[in-house]
Amino acid sequence: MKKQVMLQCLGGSLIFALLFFTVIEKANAMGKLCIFSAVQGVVLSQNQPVAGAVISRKFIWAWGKETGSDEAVTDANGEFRLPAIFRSSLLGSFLPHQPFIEQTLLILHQGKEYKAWMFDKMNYEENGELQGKPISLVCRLENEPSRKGEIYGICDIR
Amino acid sequence: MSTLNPQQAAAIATGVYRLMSRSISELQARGGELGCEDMFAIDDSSRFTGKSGGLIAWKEITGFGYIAAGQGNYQGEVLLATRGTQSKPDWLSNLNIGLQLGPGGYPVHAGFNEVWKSFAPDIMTFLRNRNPTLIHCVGHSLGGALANLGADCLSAAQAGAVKLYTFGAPRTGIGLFAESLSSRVGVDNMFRAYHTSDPVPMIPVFPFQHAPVGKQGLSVRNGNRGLISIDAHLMPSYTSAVASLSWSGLEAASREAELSPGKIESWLNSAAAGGNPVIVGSAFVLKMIGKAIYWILSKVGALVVGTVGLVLTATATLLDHLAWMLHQAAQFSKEVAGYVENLIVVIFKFLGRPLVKGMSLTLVFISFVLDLLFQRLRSAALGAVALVGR
Repeated sequence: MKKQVMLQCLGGSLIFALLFFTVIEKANAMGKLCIFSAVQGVVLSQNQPVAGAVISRKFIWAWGKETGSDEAVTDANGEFRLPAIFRSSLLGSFLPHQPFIEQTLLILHQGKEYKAWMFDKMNYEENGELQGKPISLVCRLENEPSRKGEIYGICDIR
Repeated sequence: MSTLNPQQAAAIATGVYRLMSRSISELQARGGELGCEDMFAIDDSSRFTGKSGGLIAWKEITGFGYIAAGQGNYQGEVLLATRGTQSKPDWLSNLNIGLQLGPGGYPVHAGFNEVWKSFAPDIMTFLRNRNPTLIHCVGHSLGGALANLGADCLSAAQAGAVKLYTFGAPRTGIGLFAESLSSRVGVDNMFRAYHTSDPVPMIPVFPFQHAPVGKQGLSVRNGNRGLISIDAHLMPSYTSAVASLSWSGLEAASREAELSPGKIESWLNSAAAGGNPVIVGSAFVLKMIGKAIYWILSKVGALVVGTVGLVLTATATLLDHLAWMLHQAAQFSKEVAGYVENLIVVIFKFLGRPLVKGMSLTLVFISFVLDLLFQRLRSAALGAVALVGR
């Protein structure tokens, strides 16, 4: 009897797995999830470009239980770029859940740390932070952090 | 006593997700908000943790919500906000589809109940010696199920009047649970919003049932969706769907789908002629197809139904009966034949198949069309079941 139940469970699991991977209405291609969209921006101080500032990016992804970080340095024009970060997760694509990624951008300059971008991304769409608009920032170091919609920090969206 | 409007409830159901791995002061340091600021007094002690995960292994303890006392217009009231699924251990709780006796003594989903039980003592500790006039229970997805259980517990304990607000919540308990909860809380104090393409409110299947019983859920539509859409489940999608509507506005919009016969006829004719776009696989179109079938058959009423038994054998399937009745309806009058033809056209559009011109409404052909529709629905149903792991 126990063997029968186990076989049934195994059979059911195999059928479930087969259905799971073959009968799906919609999924992100190859389970590709955008954790942090590409960011470009410029750092200014009193309207002057700030060269050599470190842009430190960090994310904490709830579903994947992953923490990641990278950084960029502003060029002579005060500009910086960070590429988009993607992850692949079939389960994350198919199992309904609320995406949640804590996103942080800090600017490090002359021993001081500035909160540039603090945002909780609640979707996996590329450029989903700004409803499809690429992230392009103007970050003035003299600004106090403030809320612009759901985004908090010293940077303005351009 | 106050009622949270849809925008407030949606903001609260969204904000609570921010406490999974953070304290409230950590959230505030990031400029984050819970959506209840200025209404309820929150601090680090408001947050509670709960346990989700598998039956034996892979459990984790994370922030599951907060409970806070009202201020200003909400003085004397309490808010209980619970988050939904964010992690794999949360999904293991979702998959624990056994039955347990819930807080009110009726059978509920075991996984949801286990999560509830892991933080229920914190809720009761907060409420001890408080005597609130009203307790608002808010949640999305699994958080909606937890809000149902919170409402069940607090109404059974007579801790105060209760109002329940959920978005995309699954069915929490069996029929008896839903009826009991509806009776104790009152259907006018229960607001269940669901997206027509969101798979989560579709499960677990019978005998699980939604509350409130006796009051329709508030169906929302947001963009063109297929039968099932994971994106439709996201809380930002619900926030967008409720827009600036009131609960009565949402109810009216929801009831708009429950159209009058005149509107059904108008929609059917317009959809067939190409006046109304028919989105392939649209949940709305499917609903309208069902209404149109019902409407056509009701036009010819007893004449058709009364003769069914004379013609079909006991081995005929439901689809056979339906096909036969539509075939008979098409013979009834030229006008009704036109409606049946329009119905066939709309079904073909729904299925994304090329239109059949000059069709002959034979019984065989109508059976063929209904079978196509059934196969499509069957495959989508299997998809829904597979999608949410049952």
